[in-house]
Amino acid sequence: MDTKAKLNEVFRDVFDDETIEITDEMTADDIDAWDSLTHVQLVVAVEEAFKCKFSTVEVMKLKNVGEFIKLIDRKTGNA
Amino acid sequence: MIERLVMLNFSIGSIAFGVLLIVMPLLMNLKREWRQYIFFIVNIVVFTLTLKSVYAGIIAVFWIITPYLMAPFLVQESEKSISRFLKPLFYILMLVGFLYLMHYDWIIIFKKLPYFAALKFLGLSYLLFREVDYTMQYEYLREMKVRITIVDYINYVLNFYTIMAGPIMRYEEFVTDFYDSEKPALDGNAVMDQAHRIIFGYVKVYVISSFMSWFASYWFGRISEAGNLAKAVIIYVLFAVFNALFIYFNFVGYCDVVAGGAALCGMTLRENFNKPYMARSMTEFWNRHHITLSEWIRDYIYSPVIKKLISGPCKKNLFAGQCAALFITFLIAGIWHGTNLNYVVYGLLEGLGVVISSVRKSKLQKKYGKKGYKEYEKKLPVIIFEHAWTMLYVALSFSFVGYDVIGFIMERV
Repeated sequence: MDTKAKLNEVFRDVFDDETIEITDEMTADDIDAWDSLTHVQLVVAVEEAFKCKFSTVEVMKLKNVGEFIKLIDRKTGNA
Repeated sequence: MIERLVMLNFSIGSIAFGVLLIVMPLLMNLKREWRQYIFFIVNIVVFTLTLKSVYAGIIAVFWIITPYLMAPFLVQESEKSISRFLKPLFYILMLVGFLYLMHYDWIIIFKKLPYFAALKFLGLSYLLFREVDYTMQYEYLREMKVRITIVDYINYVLNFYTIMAGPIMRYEEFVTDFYDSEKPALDGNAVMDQAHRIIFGYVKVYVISSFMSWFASYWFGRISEAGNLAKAVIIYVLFAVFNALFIYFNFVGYCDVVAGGAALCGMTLRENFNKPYMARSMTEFWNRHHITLSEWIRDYIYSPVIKKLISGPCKKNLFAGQCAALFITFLIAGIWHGTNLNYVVYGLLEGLGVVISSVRKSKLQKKYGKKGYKEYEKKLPVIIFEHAWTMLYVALSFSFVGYDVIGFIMERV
């Protein structure tokens, strides 16, 4: 499974919504339940799913889902 | 033992600052290529002249240069790298050094160590924020090819406009803005706008906030004469409201003066206020008041704390984790504001305030649903209640800032 598909599952899990289809341009504004708390939940869930760790600054600089995918690939050595 | 130096008085009301306010726009516009060097020299000269002793100078150099030199070694390349230990050690030492230099009077261990008040230097508490930002962001800054030189670093941390009380800029933000070649040159109108901003800033600080401060002191002095508890409470509220207004006008006026001054030199400072007393909850208040501080604590305290909590002890109860993280964050922010116990109470109250506002919002959302909650928020009595409650809560918590309320209560108990 590629990063995007796997990330999509994490998104559906965290936001408890089976209809979510992530896109590269997607941001927190596109998902109603995406607030500061679910954001951290998301980061923690992604760390668990992909077996990697993100620093505060890395998470702070993310602008959209596309950048998140790139970060995950870089961390897991898929890039 | 401690040699007395020039000890320049430096505040926005000082002659030195007034002169710089007028001279700097002219100097900084002499030649584009010289800007950073002129600013560098002025920042160093101002900072040096304010030092209280040679020892303070030595400590200040150490305090400022160490993060610059250490930043490359704090980059976390692999799990095994030395930075894994170095990084936490660096920040712990920095924190201990800060607590010692600030001389927190309720941390008993510091009372047993020798201490000279003359060691404290200008802007110590704000330097900490900038240095943490620089070292934390270093890896990212290198990646993004953001300009990093010792001149820019010194200009960032010692920027004489912001050294006294912020706004807390980020390194990337400061440098990007400083070298922004596409920024239009100031025309006559823009200069007049900034001059107005500076003048009104001074009016806010020296006229409006002085009045408020006078009223606050007046009512504070009257509390003990109240006679009964109900009267004392009313007088205390009056004191607290005037004190909160004093803090607001003093800080907002200061920000106007320094932002206007910096703008005349072609620098854009971050806005620190967005009508804070229009807020309807403590959470919203902190998004509108001292914004650069709120954002800094969000990024460097709240985010790591909540991440630790919800991936560990609060895995089952995320909301509890969020509340705990908010409480810890605002407690620390409160303690940072001042060195005596009053600021601990202030921190506790701020923490409690944001937790209450989060719990209330979550309860109401559960009760009415997300859509129903939006409708509920539009009702007039709710609007009035939320505004009044927030203002009152802010005033009561701020009453511990600048006044020794604890001492006052202890004397009478």
